Amino acid sequence: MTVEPAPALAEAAAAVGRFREDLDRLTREIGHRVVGQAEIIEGVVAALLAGGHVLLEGVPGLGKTLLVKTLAEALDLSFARVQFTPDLMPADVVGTNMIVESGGERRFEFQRGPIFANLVLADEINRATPKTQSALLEAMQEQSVTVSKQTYPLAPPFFVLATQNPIEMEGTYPLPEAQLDRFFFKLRVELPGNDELHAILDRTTGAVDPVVRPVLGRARLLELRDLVRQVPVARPIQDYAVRLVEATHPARSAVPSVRKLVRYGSSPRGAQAVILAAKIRALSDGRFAPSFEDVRRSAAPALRHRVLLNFEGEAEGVSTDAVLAEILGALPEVK
Amino acid sequence: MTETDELLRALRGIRRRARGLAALEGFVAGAAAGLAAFALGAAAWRARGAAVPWRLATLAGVGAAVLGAAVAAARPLTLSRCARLLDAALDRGGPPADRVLSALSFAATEAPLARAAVADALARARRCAPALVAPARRPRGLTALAGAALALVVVGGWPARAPGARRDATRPLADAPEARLRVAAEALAAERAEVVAAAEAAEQTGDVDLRALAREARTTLDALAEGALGRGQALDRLTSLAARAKEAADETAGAQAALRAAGKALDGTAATRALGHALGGDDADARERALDALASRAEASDGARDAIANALGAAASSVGGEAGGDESPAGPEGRRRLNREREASQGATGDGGHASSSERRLEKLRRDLDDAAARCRGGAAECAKRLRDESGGLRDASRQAARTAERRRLENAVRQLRERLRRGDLDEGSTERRFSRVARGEARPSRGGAKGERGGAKGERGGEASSEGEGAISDEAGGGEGGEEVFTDEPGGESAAEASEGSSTGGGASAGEEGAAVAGNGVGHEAGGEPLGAGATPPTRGHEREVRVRSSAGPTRSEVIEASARRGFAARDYVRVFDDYQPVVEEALSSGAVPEGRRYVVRRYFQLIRPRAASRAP
Repeated sequence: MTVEPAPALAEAAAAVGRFREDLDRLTREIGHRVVGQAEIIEGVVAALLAGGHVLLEGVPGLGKTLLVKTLAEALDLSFARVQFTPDLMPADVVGTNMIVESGGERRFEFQRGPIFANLVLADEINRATPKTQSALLEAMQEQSVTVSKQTYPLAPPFFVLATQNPIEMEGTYPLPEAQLDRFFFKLRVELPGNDELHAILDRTTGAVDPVVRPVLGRARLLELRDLVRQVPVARPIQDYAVRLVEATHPARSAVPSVRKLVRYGSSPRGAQAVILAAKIRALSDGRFAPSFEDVRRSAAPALRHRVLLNFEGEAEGVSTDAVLAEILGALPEVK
Repeated sequence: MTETDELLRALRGIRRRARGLAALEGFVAGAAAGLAAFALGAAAWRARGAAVPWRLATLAGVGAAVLGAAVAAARPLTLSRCARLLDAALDRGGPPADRVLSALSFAATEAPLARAAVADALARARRCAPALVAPARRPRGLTALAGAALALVVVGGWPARAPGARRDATRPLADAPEARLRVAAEALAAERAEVVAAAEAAEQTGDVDLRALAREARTTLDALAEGALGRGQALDRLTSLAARAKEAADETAGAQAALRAAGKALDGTAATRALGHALGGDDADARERALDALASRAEASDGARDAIANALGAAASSVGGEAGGDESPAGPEGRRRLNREREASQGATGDGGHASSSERRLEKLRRDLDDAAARCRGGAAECAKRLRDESGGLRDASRQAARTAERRRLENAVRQLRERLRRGDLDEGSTERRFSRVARGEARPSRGGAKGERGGAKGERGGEASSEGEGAISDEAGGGEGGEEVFTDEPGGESAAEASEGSSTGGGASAGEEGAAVAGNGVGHEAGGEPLGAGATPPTRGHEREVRVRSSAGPTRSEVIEASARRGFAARDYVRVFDDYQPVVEEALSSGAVPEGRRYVVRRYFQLIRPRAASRAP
């Protein structure tokens, strides 16, 4: 069904249309190199547009690093990768003051760390000590770095994509709940299917290396971010998101499994993430406002790392995704 | 007119139509309810032999229909609800977008995208007529209305029954024979193992009473397995058997207490300290050896013999205190007289046979110790002979005391079986039976209806609690105990069938299937496999699909225990540990450390984790 362009509609429709085109171009370009993983790409791009950061969880070799590198190339942004290890120090991430000699005199000069890139891949973040983790996470929150009382702002867009391996947990430092909360999305990278594996082999074992061209500049990306913030949300939809977040709290939830299996529910940051992600979904679908379905589809990646299971939940091997699915099944759209 | 006004007008049009349709539905539903109520009243009239007032029937039908229509039409229908109806019509066949609902919220917002959202929703709403949003359909109560009308016609045309033809309601119905209860043999395995152990112990110790009790218990178990008993009969029989087993255990427990009292008295003298220790312990052989050693010592030394005589006298007094209580003021003679009087009165009333028998034994022990003390004061040979006498009181009491544990075990087993029967755990369809079948691989856990079945089971048990809690057959605190859900009060225990399925949804075999496949390969001192079956998906945190949380039904603790037990996780080391633990548990249970209502749970737990016969083999 096509919509007749009304005067008020024309300009907004054009803006939304451009947003959609840019997004399609970006995902298509990433798709030249990354096979499948449509949900992950969609989630990463959504977090980028919302100004959030992403925690990717998956076993090694699923293309997490490739995805971020490809994204950086497609966006024409600076990219840095930090491999987190137990002996990595905060200064290795944020940078440090070094003595330099010029013109016969010595002075301190700040050597910027890899965090000063637009896109930072924090690989295996849970292998670093909490001290180093918190240095990165503080920068993620404040969008700036302070070294020796001097504050250095990070150039926007600043996007951190952290990865962690769910197996081989020995010798790791799992991120504390407060730090997990700073990630906009937690995405789970699944093993590709049979057809996708064939496509991966075709692309990676052949002579031709797929080339990724920059399709979106820094300025346009910031414009898209502004547009996302302008999307209005209907009160009933926002109320649904609020009730959804409330329902993750055992003290306020009417869902039996939440009361039985959950220790703490999501923070207000979770609600913010759900609404922002819903807005991006609406825009990418060519709509002017998010729907209940958008909220529902954003719930799992935005809340799965913000809902903490209690001992019973952990012991029973219940996943937070399953708890969220039950909440979504039980929560009426309108009160 | 602004776009918002136009949108609101469209929504109001939808509301009017929806109200009209609701009124029609209410009309039909009201008419059906009115006619159904009148049909009931008419049936009562016909039963009394009166004619049906048809005019009243018509009035009732019409009145109820109008009332129903008015109520349905007056029901609040918000514009938001209408917007959702319109959205549903617009999004038919595609993903829901909630455009109209959003636009309704943006009525007062001037932001460009909000205005665009309103314009977009209006443009779409214009193409959707109210008839598409709220289509006319056949009223839902039409079938009920036809049914009620038919019922009314049938009742009206039915011949009136003469008042005298009514059945005499005061005449009691014939007693229905009690339904037989057949219990699967494997469900009784734990109790059967206890009975076999009791029978073997009875043969070894020559305990005639225990042998008779074990035989009767085995007969009852056979009858239950063959379905020869009704529930009530079985409960009666088990109650009686449990009472007799308790009597038997109490009887020998008295001897044990007396021995301990004597042991404490003998402990004070160096010459008899070893015997005192042995009497205070549970080892019958050690007691025999200590008595022989004491006899040898009495032969060897006159000084020691005097000390032994004094200690035995003191022990006799202690045993006397145990038998008659310290309140007896008249000394040994007076106590004996009182005992004779008590025995005479009990003999006259015909009860208290057990009490008198127990007291007689204690009195015999006391006399025997007195006698032994007197002989030890006389001469070495006589003293040693008395101490070595096989039929002596101490040796007899020692043999009696050694029987206490087995008798108590049998009592507990019978009592536990009665509890399981009373709680319905052995009934067909009970959680325990269902899980056992699934675990044996005879049945697949089914999702449909599991909850319903369970609700029924709960209700039945609740009923039992109220009817049996104060009943004659319950000599324990039955009030609150009857309604307890042993297999379901654990976290995550919605229903065993559901839980079993929940555990198997990840592709793994269900508990029992896994257990049945590898029965007996486990060991007790090292980590076993996944008790409920391994999942088919890789064990990564990214593939957590093993538990279906929609039903909140992970495997309950009882299922994990049951499944592990079926795999035969016990080895010889485990048997030793279990045998050490179980008496301690029984002691804690009998000392009141565990509330009465929870003892069944503890005993059932230990029944489930008992070492199986295979693991007892060397």
